[in-house]
Amino acid sequence: MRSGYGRCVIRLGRLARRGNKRQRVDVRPGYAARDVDVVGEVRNETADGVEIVVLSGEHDLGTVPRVKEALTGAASDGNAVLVDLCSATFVDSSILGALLEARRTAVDAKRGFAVACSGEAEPVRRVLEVTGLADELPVHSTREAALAALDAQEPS
Amino acid sequence: MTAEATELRLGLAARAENLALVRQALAGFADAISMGDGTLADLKQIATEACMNAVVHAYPAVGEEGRIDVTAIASEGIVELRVRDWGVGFRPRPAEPDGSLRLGLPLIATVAESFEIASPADGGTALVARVRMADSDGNGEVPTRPAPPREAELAITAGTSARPVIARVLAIAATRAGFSLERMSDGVLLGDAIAAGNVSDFAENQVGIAIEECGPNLCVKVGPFVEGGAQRMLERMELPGLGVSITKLASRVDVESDDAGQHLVIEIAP
Repeated sequence: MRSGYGRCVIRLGRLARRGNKRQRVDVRPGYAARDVDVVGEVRNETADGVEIVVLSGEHDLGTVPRVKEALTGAASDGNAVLVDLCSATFVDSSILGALLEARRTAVDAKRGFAVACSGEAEPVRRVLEVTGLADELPVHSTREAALAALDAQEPS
Repeated sequence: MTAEATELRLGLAARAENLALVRQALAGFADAISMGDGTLADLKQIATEACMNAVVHAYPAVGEEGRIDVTAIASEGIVELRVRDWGVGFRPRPAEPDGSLRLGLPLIATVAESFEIASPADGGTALVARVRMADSDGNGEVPTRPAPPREAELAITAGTSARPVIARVLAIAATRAGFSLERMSDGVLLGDAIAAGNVSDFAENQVGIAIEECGPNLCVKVGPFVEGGAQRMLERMELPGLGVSITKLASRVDVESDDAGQHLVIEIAP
C-alpha cells in the first residue's frame, strides 16, 4: 500500500442471503444509480407442456448448482425444456456450460430444447453472441418465439 | 499512472459467493467515474471469469482457502483490471474433470482490449486486462481498422540487419509473381541495393518496403525517406562491383511524395 493512499476496510462475514428481490441501491447524488441484483433467482414454470427454467438477476459459479438442479428437474418428466434468460442480467462461462450440458442431454433424449434472451438482457445476449452459443443453442429473442420454435420441432 | 487515476482494491477469500461481491464493487466503481454500461458489462465478465478460475483451480487442496486480490484502475480512458491469486499457478489443462467449457479465457480475450497472464516469482497467477472506457452516454472512441496492404508491408531497422530480410522477402514475392530465375536474382540484387542505402536517408532509421503486384509486374515501394533521401539512394544504386545502376533492371523508377513522406517506387517486369 503506497503512503498517503486512502484505505477503507470493509469486513464481510459470510453473506446472508436475504431473499432474491431486485434492490435499488442509492448512490451519491450526481451519479447514475444502477439496479443491483444481489442474488440471481431460478424458477421452474410449465406452459403448454413445456418446462420453463427462468433465470433472473446475476448468475455465476455461486448459483450454478441451483441452475443445474432446476435444469435437471425440468428434464425429468420428458417434456421439452425452455430456458428463459430475458430477465437475467449476467451469466458467466459456468452457466454457459450448464446450458450446453442441458442441451446435450435434451438432444440425446430427443427432447426439444430452446433458449430465450431478449435484447433487454443486453450483457447476456452479448456473451451468447461472442461465444457463438446464440446459434449453437439456439437463442430466440422472446419466450413466445422460443415456444413457437419448440412447437415446430414437436413431432406431430 | 497519472495523479487522476481512480483505483479500487479488493482482497477476498477465493469462494464462489464472492464473485457477486466483486461485480457489485465494480458497478459502484463504474457509478463513481461515470463509466458506461457496456464497459461495466465487459469489466464484470472479465473479473468474474478470472476470479472463477482462481476459485476453481488455484487452491485445489481440500479445506484450503486462498486469497484473491482484484484491482481496478481507471486512467486516461482505459480501465485496467488486475486479478491475482497465490495458488498453484497457471497451467495448461488439456482435460477438465469438472466438465468446464474452458470458455473463460477466450471470453476474456474477446471482451478485453488486451490481456496478459503471468506467473509471478512469488507464486500464483496474475491476470491483467484492459478495457477502453465509454462514458455513461455510450460515447467512446470508435476504433478504426487499418487498411489491408495490397500485398505485403515490412519495416526493419536500417543497416546490415535489413539485408537478409529484404533479400528473402523480395525473392519470395518474385517467385510468387512467376519471375524467371534470372529476374529473381535481379530482385535479390535490388534488395541488396536497398539494404545498402545510407541509414540516415531513411526517416526514423527504418527501411519500409511495400510489395504489390501491378499487373504482371512487381512494384516495390521503399521509404519513407527524409527530404532528398530517395534521390540520394537512386544516385547510389550502383550494382556492387559492376558499376551499373540498379535502375536499369527496373521498368519504372519514380520518386513519390505524400503525407507519409518521400518514397521510391521501383517496378520490375518478370
